[in-house]
Amino acid sequence: MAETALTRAAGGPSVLRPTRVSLIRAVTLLALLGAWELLARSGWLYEGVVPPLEKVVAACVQLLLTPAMYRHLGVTAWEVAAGFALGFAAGVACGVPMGAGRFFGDAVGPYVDAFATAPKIIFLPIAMLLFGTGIGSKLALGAASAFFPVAINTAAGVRQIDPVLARVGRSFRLSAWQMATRIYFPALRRSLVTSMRLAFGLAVVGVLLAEIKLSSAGLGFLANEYYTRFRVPDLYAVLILVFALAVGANSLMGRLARRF
Amino acid sequence: MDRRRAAALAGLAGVTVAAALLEAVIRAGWISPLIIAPPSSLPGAFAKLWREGFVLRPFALTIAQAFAATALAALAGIPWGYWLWRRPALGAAYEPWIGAAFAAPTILLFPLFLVIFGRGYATTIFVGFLAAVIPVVLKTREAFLGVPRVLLEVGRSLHLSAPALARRIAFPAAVPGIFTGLRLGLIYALVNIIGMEFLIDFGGLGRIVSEMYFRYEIPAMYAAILLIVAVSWTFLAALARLETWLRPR
Amino acid sequence: MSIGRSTFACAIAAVVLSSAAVAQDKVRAAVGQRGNWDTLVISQGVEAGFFKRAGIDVDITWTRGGAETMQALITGSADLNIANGILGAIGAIAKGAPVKIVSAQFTGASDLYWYVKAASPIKSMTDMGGRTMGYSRPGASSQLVALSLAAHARVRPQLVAAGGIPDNRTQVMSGQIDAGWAVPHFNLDLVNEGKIRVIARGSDVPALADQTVRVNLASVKFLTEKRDVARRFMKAYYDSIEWMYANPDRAAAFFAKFNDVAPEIARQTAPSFPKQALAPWPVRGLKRNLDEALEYKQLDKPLADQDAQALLFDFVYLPK
Repeated sequence: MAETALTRAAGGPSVLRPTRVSLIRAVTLLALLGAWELLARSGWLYEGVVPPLEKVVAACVQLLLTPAMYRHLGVTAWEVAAGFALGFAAGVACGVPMGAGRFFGDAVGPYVDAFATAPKIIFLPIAMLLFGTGIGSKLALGAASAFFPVAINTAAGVRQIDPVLARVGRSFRLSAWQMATRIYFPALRRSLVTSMRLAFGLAVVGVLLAEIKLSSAGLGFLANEYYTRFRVPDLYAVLILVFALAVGANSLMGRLARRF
Repeated sequence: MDRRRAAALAGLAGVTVAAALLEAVIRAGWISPLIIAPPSSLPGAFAKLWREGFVLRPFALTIAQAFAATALAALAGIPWGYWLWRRPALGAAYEPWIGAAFAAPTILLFPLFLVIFGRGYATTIFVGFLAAVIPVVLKTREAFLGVPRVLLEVGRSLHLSAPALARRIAFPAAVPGIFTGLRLGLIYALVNIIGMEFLIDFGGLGRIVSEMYFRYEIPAMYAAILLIVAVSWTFLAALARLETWLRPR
Repeated sequence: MSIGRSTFACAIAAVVLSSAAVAQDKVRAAVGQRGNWDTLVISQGVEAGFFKRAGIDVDITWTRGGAETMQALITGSADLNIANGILGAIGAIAKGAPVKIVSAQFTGASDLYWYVKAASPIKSMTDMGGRTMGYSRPGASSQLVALSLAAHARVRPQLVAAGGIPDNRTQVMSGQIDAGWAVPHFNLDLVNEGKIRVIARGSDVPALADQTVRVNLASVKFLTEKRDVARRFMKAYYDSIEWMYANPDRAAAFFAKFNDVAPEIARQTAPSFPKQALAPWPVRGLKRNLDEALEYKQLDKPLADQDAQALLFDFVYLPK
């Protein structure tokens, strides 16, 4: 009888050979790639919107060899890094008082939650009105995307700090700065690190979407250029690159998080 | 006065004071009203949006797309989540991929969907579907995994066949968890769809923001943005309320 | 000795003064629709040296048109807004934006064309009854021209806000709409390959030729504080247009190089942009534009012709 969760729950054998898992993954991957190729060559969709795999691979290689791409990558990287740093700092600065001051947190919390739920990209026109249509607005979008999860998680983290710790600090008559660095910050470390990962991922998405919508530099701009000029394989290449970088940055953040 | 109510009033008061300060700063000429709309212009701008039909119909369109996307996500995601539980090999094989997909920014691929599906509801609903299906799959599998072993053993001791066991015992026990997945899926779908509407200038509420910016109707643009904030938040709050109401105890 | 010293002083003065005379005034122009024949005027003029000769160093920012360009002007990050839709310009100025129209940028509809897939049974506008016809967005010139073309051919197609040129291309080729809009040089590659067929052009409706659809604007600040620079800029702009049409081969070559397209495509593009379409003055069809601005909600209430002219225009330079 085939191995099932039901039999296992009832006490059957529970060893899964690792090669079986790898086999499933390999077969799935091949099937997906095969389906792609079939779709590309079938003519079912308008020719060119799903290019054959070789064209996509060629475009990827071509992209990596294009010097101009690295300039755009630099712009995007700067917008993400600076936006994330700003949003993170602001998030902590707001989250601590929100968590520490119960009344303040209850008063301000609903408004923060409300803005947190909305898709940040709709704030792009405001960012453009305030900071222009260049790098400033993309940075602002990155910061706005990073701010909310950090503020909310930090507030929650502060609220969860064992009051004993605070009492200990006060009994030693620590100054506010010492309280922050010796008591609160170490206690918050874990929550900060978790929110850092989420915030970074959101900052990447926020910046890139803003670039795709309206910009004159960056990887998102490049994607839009290729879309406008109908250079479809190049569009796939840029988006694959963007996706890979986003996923890579995310897992890097995850690894850093585990270190802490 | 109860503390929560006092805090809510304080929050409202704070917002009012901030708005009054902003109004003063704009009237003094320090900030151009063409950059930040004076708060006093917002009610009029909202009324204008309403009169021109830029509120109800777009709202209905956006919500309808969100529900459609979530329905599709349920159709695809619940069976998928079920099979990932029923066949542990599949579950072990795909789980890291799905976890990665959850964190992955699939909305970034939207220009590709634009190219493939064209600029229409197919693209927006597809993006909503992608955003919703992952939490549905994950939560469904989690829900089935959380079914108490005891229940399954009771079923087995009654000699129920595997499908009957699934249908009569596992599934009903998993429903609350599945519902959580659907709730999450719906809110993700809504948020992503609004974002898509803004990005591709098509559809309901998100398109209105883009349109008002393009027409340089700044107060109307701010009004539309605030409307979206209100809608997203109300939706989230309502769904959370619904879930606690549906779950007994 | 004193003669030597004063000669030396004169020499220094001459050098200083001449370099001051050569010093360029910086002008920042925000231009929508990168690389179109009509939006390349300034680039062509810079290449041909007109702006340098006028003592102007132009800094061009290409934008996606519309609000982006207008905003750059209003927030002061640009001095000039090149190629803004006239309805949008009227709307912004009526709302109090501190900007003025300094010239027309494009008059008529000769640049717009509609096309269908090669296999389509549609041969011309008269076959478009009940068919889907794409335009960009409500209130844009592509919609207004589509309506005019339909009225002219006495048919009632179903107009669809299909979006920009690439969006229309995808939707026509995948069969989602019957006819899409474009301006040359876009999609000419498909025309040349026989994959699409042109079924209508804006120039098919003669009445449209008298209406200015896009204008150039400058900030009031720029026009007040640097009026002489503005005047020299507009003169160089005018001279650039004159040069483009006196040297069509060189203009076509520059266009082809800028857009990275074959010279053949450049040659096919030029006829859609006759010289009178690019004439900066006068701004034509004001009454009709004001009516449309009211209809498409760019204006909240009607604006009389006389008031409009005073409010909207500041022609800092006019050729003799």
